[in-house]
Amino acid sequence: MNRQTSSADSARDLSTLPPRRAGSRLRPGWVVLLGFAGIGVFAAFLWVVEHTSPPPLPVLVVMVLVVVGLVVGPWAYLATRRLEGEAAAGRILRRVLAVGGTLAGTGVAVAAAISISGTGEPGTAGAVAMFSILVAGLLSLVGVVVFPWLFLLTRTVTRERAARVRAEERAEVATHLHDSVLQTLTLMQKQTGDPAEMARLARHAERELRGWLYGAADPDRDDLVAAFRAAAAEVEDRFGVSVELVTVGTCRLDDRARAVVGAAGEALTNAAKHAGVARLSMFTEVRDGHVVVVVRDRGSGFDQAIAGGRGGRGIPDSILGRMRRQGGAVTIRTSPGAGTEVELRMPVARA
Amino acid sequence: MTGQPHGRVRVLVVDDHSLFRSGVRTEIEPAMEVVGEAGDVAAAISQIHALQPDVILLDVHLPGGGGRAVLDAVLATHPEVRFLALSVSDAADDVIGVIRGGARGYVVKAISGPELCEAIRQVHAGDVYFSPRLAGFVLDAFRGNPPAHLDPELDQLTVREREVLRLIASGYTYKEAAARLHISARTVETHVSAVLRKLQLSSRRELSRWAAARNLT
Repeated sequence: MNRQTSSADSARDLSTLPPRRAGSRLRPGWVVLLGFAGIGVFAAFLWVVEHTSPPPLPVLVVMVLVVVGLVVGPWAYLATRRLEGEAAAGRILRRVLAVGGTLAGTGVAVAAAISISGTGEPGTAGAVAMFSILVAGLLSLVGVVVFPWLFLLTRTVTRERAARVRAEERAEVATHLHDSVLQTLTLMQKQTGDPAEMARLARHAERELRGWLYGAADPDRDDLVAAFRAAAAEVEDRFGVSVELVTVGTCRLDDRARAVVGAAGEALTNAAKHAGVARLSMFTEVRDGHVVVVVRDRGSGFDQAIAGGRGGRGIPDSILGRMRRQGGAVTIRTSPGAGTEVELRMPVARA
Repeated sequence: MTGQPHGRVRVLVVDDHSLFRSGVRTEIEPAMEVVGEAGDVAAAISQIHALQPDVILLDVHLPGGGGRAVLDAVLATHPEVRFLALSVSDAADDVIGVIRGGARGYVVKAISGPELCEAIRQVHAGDVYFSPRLAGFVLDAFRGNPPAHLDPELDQLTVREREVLRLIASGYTYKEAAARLHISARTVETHVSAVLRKLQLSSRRELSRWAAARNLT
């Protein structure tokens, strides 16, 4: 609804725009011709100055102004039109022309003053006027020809680079979405009869997308948190549960850190198998030279006194042994019906 | 906002996805009364003024300036309005931005219906609701000692506050955390409120940076 209204608005905007004043403009071809004609006249003028006696000052000033104007005017006109709509460029261009104009005006004023006061050699006034107008003309010419050229060149290069970067980014996004989300959606359409499998696929795709959106561009193989994420992901996929993982701080993976990751994975596996709930919590923190992991569920819990002897449920060697061998500690808090919490604590190298 | 002490909590759902809005409605009704929905910043602000809801469920990402724009517009004139932020994002700057903007809690969109109701009730009661993820972000932001020029009262967590946050990050409810620490649930709430205040007022670099990153977008 909104979109329709706004497109109608923009259509109206276009139709109410004033028609381009093509008729009142000079064709570029004629302007260029005029510019070259100006240069020709300028050459003729130089020949005249060289080979005839100088005319009176006012006549000289008018002649020089007309000739220089003929040379500069058409090019300035062209440049102004080319840079229309480029506010910053137009401003600089106008400044160049203003400096040129001021220079020429000052020169003429000085020449007039010299001529009226009658000081100086004969011909000095004429020379001053001519010189200043010529310099002003040259300055404007360079300004209006070189500057727009440089400006447009830089802008083109910048725009091309930006477009290329955008295209590359877009291609990368497309590739990633295709490999992850699109593939998963296709798979899910084939699995509609199996809710557990659908949930697993959805979780997997979500995890992947999140890792890509918010995670490091290139997951670090030697990073503790990356290893915890991988362990949690594996349990999610294998047992169809979800693990709410919260991590604070990280360190490099050494043997002891690897032992904690392995033990944490076992604790998660235990909870997923025996607790009888679909959601597990895992909190990891690296602080004061220790890594602490809490794996928690709100499931069935168990009686530690009995479980220890039976071996099946409880805390198998894969958790306890792993941690103790590397100098870590394990704390269990559980009772039947009250859920289970496994806390792992291990000294690690400071990051 | 004047809530009805004996009625259900009146909730306004602000999210730009209509599917999500109706999903939330099905999950929290009939325990809560969803009085309205809004899909962008302008609609949210006018609905809040028209409907006077008890709690506003506010999506962090919202067309027209984001959840932060709603917070800024409403809290400037009505500081008593209670917001609970929710988002699919895992990015700290999103979360910290809305909390510093005045939201009284943060939950992820994957939260279950009963948990969401509990969070709404807590925020309605004037308490603060920290999800495990928010607790993790806060622990991360307040790691180490504050730089010397900062106010340690404001820029550092107490030992007790850290303990409470660690339990919340591990999936404990306030009640469970209270039992574990042998303190009352009220005391846990006091600690969490103190943490929220520090989160909003601290000038720690991490927090300022996260919040700034959010404001730019």
